Amino acid sequence: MSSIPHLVEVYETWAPRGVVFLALTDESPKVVEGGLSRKGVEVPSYPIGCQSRDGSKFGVRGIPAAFVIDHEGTIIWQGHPGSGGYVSVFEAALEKAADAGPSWDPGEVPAELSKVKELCKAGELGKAWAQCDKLLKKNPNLEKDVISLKENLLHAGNRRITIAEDHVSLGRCQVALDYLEMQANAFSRTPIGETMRETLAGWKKDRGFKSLASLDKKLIKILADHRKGAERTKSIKKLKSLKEDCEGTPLADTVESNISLIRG
Amino acid sequence: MKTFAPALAMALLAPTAQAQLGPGAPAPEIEVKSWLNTPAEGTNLEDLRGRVVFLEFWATW
Repeated sequence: MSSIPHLVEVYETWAPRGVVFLALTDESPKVVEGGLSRKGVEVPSYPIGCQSRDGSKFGVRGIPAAFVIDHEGTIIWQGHPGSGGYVSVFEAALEKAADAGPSWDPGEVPAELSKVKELCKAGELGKAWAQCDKLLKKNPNLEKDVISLKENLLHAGNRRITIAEDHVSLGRCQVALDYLEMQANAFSRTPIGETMRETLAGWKKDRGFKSLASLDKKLIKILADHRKGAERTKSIKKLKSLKEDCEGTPLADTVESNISLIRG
Repeated sequence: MKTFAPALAMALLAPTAQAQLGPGAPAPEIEVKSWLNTPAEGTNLEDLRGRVVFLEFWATW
């Protein structure tokens, strides 16, 4: 047996920060429990999926083997769990995941701003913004904290606009649209929310953008089907035909890299 | 032509071994029959979209 004991330590450090840990084995729960107790190891507190045959789908040739999967379901690290190399990707992956949805964590705030923090974490950023103003009127002493929170909120909004623009530069226009719509809703009635709306309006008027978005929609569908278990050869065939349709656009390269990834 | 036939047959019969997936590849969905410590956030990767997941393949032997 290998790796479970050291994994406990990694689990205890990173699970509270938001990494989800799953261990998979082809053994039955009985065999796992028996095997661990024979070795004097307590059953760890993270989930252990039993009777799984998923190793072959991941192309695992020897165990233990580990993967880090990002918020989009993409593998970002693969290797031997004993190497510890995955820890280096956790931080950046968590940051990206934090910007993927509408929610935003302002970090430590004074007790008076705890409601604002709750709203932020729930993705109600416009409401949080309004609540800040309300609190400030009642309690001018909060000025410094409110200003700093609002600045950070705007900073997060700017970062998310950049993420949307990065999608566009890869030709992923539909992904960018969906993402920025969601963010604009979360940031509604804030200055950065306005900027998001303006950006979206500009995109929707742009003919080139719109045609790339409809091609990107097809890519989204093919990748989703592939993830659900569509045959590799069929996915590649569909991607190749899509690539022909996107020739001369940045999406062609993105489709090509997906083809080579699926081909393995 | 005849000489090529065995090679072709071999190629067709060769198992379609999946290469080990690496960074950039979409993670395939997992199927688990039973859990020890059932995950609170979902029992498949689709449910965990939005989260960073550490997935380990392992055995007690």
